[in-house]
Amino acid sequence: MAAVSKRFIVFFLWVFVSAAAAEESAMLINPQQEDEIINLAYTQMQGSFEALENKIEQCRILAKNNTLPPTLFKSLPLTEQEMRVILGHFKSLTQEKCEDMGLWAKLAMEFAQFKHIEKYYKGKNTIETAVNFETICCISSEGRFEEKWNYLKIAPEIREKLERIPELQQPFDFIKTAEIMGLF
Amino acid sequence: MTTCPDISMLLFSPPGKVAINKIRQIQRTSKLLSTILGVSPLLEIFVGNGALGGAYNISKKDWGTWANAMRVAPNVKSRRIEDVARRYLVDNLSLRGKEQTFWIAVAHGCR
Repeated sequence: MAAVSKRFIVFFLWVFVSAAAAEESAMLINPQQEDEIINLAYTQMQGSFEALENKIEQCRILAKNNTLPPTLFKSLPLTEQEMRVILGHFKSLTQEKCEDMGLWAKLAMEFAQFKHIEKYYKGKNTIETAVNFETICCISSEGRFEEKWNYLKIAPEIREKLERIPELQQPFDFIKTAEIMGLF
Repeated sequence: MTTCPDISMLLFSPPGKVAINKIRQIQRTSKLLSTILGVSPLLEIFVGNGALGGAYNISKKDWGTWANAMRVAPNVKSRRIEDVARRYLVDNLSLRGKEQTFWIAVAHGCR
């Protein structure tokens, strides 16, 4: 009976020591392994960055080759400033649809994760990135909301008509369009 | 109109300076841009840290350099810069003359 108890105690201790050692080895990551994890996060973020870069370029080409007709708003009672607001709003809207806002959001999340992971392991951020987080997520977002806000001030029945105009559903060249409409 | 204009004695309005500060925030990490822009006044305007003081003379050549800088910059950055310039143009109906020409050139590049 005593021998059985002794074996049980030894087994119990072995289980305890093994479990503790396994936990310790899972937590202890050497600097090389840390670098590998940081690199993994960086590579993932960089992949999303390149996907977005390519998408922006494709949409830019589409927009460059599309100037809207100068008579587009002729039948609508709009002021010069309303026309500018409408063009600005639809420029942003079509650009966002074309580029896919999901790609921007994915990059923002992976960028933040990469910076967090680097800081977690190394205590600070030292790896340089081509852009900063503010640029990806936020700079000019206040302008985008002001743009939407101004657009929503236009009468609903006019907005309804505008939203059905096929030309306003594709990326277009804002400057050239505004120029031929005589808005600049 | 040309989107690559000569502009002389350009003075920025207070809202224009706000827009320039937004572009400076975007450019903050760009050493490459500083190298490309060299001695162009556009370097002082868009990459500098100091206050925008006097009148600026910007030549067609400066805009050409700017266009090159935008070509090598990440699209994420140049897209945000275009956004700032375009929204500034939309929001400022009274904007005319040199400052308007300047922001059209920034929004459209010199392409």
